[in-house]
Amino acid sequence: MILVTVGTERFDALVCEVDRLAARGLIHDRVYAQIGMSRPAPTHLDYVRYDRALLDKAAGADLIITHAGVGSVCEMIALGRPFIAVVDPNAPGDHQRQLVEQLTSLYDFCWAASPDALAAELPNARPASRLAASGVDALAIDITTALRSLCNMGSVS
Amino acid sequence: MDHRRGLRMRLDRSRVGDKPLVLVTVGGGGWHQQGVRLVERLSTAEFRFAYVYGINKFVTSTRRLTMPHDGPRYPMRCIAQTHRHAVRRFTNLARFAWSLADAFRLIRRLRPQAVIALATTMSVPLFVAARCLGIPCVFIESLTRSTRLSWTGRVVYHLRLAQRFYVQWPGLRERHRRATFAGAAV
Repeated sequence: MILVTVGTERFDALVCEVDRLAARGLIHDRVYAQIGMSRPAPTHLDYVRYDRALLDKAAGADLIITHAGVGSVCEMIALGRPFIAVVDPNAPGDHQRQLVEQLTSLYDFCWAASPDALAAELPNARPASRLAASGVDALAIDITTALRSLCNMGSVS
Repeated sequence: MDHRRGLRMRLDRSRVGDKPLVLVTVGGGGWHQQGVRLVERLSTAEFRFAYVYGINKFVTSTRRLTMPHDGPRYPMRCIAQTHRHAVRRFTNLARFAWSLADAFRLIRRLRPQAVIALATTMSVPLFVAARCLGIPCVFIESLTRSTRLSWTGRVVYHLRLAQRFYVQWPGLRERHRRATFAGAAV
């Protein structure tokens, strides 16, 4: 099963592209798409607007095609399933492209610069593998140290 | 002098056997993921947590989002995203006033020892209220910002609303010398 997710907002171009690939027979597996507020609704895919059990379904999917939003990409990295992150070129400030370019310094994973580039990337889908430590523990330790000092400061000011 | 020492002792005594309360913002989507990764690494042995989530007619689902540590949750009216709807910039002025009023009410009621915000638009009113009431603030810029601060980040940084300002990519640290880079929540 191929799972498509666009997150909480909309990504019309991605939904249309996957629908087109399914219609042309370039995708053979069953496709389950979470399309958010995307328009128009696909005609060749099973779809829902939102699904609270999406992560459970993603854990059993053979391939995940996700928008390159930070929450979805981080979830897919952690999930360890083959995935392709597709950048929305119309996202504010092109922040999705910046995010995936930065994340590739920490993780090896497959991404497409736009929905048009998705078909070419389909054979390259793979689970993310870590290249370098993200430093989340160091960040949490630094925040804890800051909180200790700030909380003490607040108590006597 | 004695009065001030007495006040300081009373404040210190009120914290004996009690952990500092930290108020944390709960955002939706990617903000939630980053918040979970960070908060789950903060110790409940050292801190108590309370959460604040934003509500407006465009955002309704954040109240259902779960966080790693137990704690009371409070709603706060917040402004809407402006990037896709120019008209919202005007209505957001009114929303910001409501948001500021909610923030003052919440901070005055809870009296947390610190406020942590992860790049949501709630940060600005919460930090203004917290700073007015002498409560320190910690801001964490979104993971999506690698070359330029977000609008919220710019306001918080340039108005110096936060005592600690974290960025999650080293490139941003080079451009903002008061920011701290320690790692990324991924």
